Amino acid sequence: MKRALFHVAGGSAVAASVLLPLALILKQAFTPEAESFAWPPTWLPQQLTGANFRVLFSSVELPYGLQLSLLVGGLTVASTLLVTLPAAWLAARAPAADRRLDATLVIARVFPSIALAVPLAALFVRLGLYNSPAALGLWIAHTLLAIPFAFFVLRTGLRRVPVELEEAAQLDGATPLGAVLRVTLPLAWPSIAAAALLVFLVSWDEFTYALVLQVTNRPLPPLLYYFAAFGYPGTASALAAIMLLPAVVIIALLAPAIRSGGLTGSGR
Amino acid sequence: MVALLATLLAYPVLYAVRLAFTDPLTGHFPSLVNYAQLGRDALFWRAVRNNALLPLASVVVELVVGLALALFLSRRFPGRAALRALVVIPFALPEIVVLTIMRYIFVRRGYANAALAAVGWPALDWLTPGSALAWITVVLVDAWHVTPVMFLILLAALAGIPAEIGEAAQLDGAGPLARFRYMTLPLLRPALLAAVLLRGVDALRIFATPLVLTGVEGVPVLSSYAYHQWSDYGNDAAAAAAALVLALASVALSVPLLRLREAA
Amino acid sequence: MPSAARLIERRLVWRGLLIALLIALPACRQATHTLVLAAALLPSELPPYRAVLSAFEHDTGWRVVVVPQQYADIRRALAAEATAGSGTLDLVELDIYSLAAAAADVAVLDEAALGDELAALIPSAVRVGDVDGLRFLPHRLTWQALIYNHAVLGAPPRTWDELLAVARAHPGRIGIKGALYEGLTCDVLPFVWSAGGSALAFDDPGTRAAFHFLAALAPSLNPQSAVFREASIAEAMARGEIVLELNWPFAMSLFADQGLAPQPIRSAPLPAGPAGAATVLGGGYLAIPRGAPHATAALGLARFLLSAPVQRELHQRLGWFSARRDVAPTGDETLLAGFAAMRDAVRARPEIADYPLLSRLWQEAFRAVAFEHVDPDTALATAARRWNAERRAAPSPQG
Repeated sequence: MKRALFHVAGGSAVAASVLLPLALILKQAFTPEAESFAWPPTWLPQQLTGANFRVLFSSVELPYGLQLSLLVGGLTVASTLLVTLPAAWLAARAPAADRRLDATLVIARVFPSIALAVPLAALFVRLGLYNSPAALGLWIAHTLLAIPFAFFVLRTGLRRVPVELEEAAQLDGATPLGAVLRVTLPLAWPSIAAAALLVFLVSWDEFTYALVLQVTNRPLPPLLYYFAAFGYPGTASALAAIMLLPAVVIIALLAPAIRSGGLTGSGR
Repeated sequence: MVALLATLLAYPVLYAVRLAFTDPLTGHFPSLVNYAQLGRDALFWRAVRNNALLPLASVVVELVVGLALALFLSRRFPGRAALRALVVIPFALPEIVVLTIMRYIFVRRGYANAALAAVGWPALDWLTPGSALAWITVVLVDAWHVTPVMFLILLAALAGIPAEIGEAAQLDGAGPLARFRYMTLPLLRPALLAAVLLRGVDALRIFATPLVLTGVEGVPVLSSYAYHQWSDYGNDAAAAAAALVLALASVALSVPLLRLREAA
Repeated sequence: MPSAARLIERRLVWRGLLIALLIALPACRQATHTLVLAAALLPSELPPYRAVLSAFEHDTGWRVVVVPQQYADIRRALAAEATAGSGTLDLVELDIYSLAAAAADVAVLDEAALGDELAALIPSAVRVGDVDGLRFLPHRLTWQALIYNHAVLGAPPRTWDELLAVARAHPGRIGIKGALYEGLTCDVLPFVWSAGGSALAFDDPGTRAAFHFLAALAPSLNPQSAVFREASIAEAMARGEIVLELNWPFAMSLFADQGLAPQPIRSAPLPAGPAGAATVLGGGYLAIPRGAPHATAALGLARFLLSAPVQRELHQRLGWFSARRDVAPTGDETLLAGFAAMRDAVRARPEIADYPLLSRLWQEAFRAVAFEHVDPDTALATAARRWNAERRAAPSPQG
């Protein structure tokens, strides 16, 4: 009995600390601006409205920002997988290469974004990629950022595919590349899908590069910063609610992979 | 791919080095004029201090909370699977979404103080610039966002400890605290070390949390200081100089992390 | 992992990606009849501004995308597009203080195409936009006034003595934009000028008097003042955390939007010091980027924005002041009364090459006095020493 009580109390405390902030975002998103400024604040909505979403979508920049975020996310998934898959396969098969790759990518992973963002801004200005309407510079930055995340997930997945299967396929007349494409990749599909989702999330969530590199053609994170910084809690919360939707869907899709430990060590 | 990545990483880094050591007015290289300017700036030194201490505090909080969560959610009870999924959500949320709502919670007339008032406590200045409490608020909010990483690593490590060991100890009459202290903790050590190192180096990058919650001047860190120089004063050279200090620290601190990975 | 395989159907993911790309594709292409205007607008200013533009869109068939952003970021985008030689911006609004630096990135305007609109402008405001040819047109002129909580204070403080009395009666509820940025300079210089000081001298008697007054005010400042900027100070005002601040007209339209003005929040002239009242001139000028995709249409848009009815509308709805001689400020409105009353007390910041250093030294001197309890004379002496030591004596190419 005491134990059950402990579980209920602990479980509710954990659930509340995660869910309360999310509930407050949703509350502010669907109540009038004035209600978000009320003192003492309301915990439950007093008056429901869709006005905040209407303001957002009437601003023209929001649909564009949404498209831009989706575009950069999609492009980053494609380019990251293209670059990382061969490397992860090599790392899963050749321990010597693995050590070098692992070290490089750990450093790439912990390297402070701002230290790259400032020189990248200057570089992209010269290449015509700064603040690009299709966010090409941001795409490159996000690919750099996402490669380590994808690498650690893909390597784990590829290691689980026995090398014997590739060798057997080659005995049956497949070229080495053909063996990888037709045998290994289909078997490693779950980790490839998990990596793709994770990379999309990394790009969708990313704030620092987006803030520095896209100053007028803005994807969603800097746009939210603008609305939040300029005193519009309702509008900002509505945008925040839109932004957390894909994040929650992806985490639900990734839940099995997370539980099996495939994503740990990949970090922020 | 290493070559491609190295080029894409190395070019901006070399460019930053040149920027940091070039006098922006005369174009003279190498020059220490940017670092001399940083040295005179009190805000820079506050940023250095915070950038050393914040990650430390942040990792301690994450470790304690992450371990408590992992231990709690390794127990068997109904609803455990749902709670495990729930606990991971904060990490998946966009940083700026988390910070937006946290600011509304911790402003003077925000939800946190409303909750305190409801139980008859006085309001707190959670975000007052330069105050100890603002510092703590930054640590707590950062921990709220990234503790799931620590939790996942430790949960996986706990799952790797065979249940029989605990049962045997229980038969020997060891209490729960003794079992934790002498059985679980030593077995978790490698995972703890790896998690602390990874999160520790990662925490050096802290940027948006203090920037959005307290502004640049409230709780400055090196990243937000560099952004401030770049954005408010258009001083690319000072921004690069400050960011390089941080980059150097990150690379230096990742050496023990790499050692550990090689040993594993 | 195997359980993930069941959840994540391969085709589903590909289809999802494909749909995402299809939605995203239009982002690559700019619609043909779209003009992009980047202006330093706040979210509150966006709906009225867009409403004004609808007449232009209806008459010309062009769609106008308004990108609201801070001046610094607009300049950065402009400079990047100038270097790249191509871009998306058709018309930009720039800070009056960055015109000389941005001149090379924008086109010289065809004065003939502007016609009567040019003649209707105050000549001095037009001259400011002439940097090796007419490149910039005055979109709006602005300055700061006092914004106060009428419900709490009743009457606004009219003099420094009254201001000090209000501050002592409401400790912790006086706001100053004290972050390290240009906005702080715009809050400090009015005090310096009101005491007869000079923006170029840290050690004259007027400046010292101003800083002694600020030191007396310091204990009553809201602690967030150390990080307040235009928007965050307005938010603190809306939440009732502070009762008094200096701010630009946008704040009043923001409060009106939130149902907080003219009751309880109102505007008033800045309190007068020993040498009267003063406020800093700010403003936005329109320019056409060198690589603008639709330069001709952009000029048409600029002309439309400068026309009398539009300028009148912008003044009434947003509190912007017009550089047109035929758009008189309507001083009787409660909302912007304080701003209208400051019209003759507007002064320009020094136009010198070392202005960024000068401005930063004013900011640091204020912060030392207000937040670090440094003696005003010591703080000013430090600023004066650094000003003499660090300024690059060479005269600026821009004058």
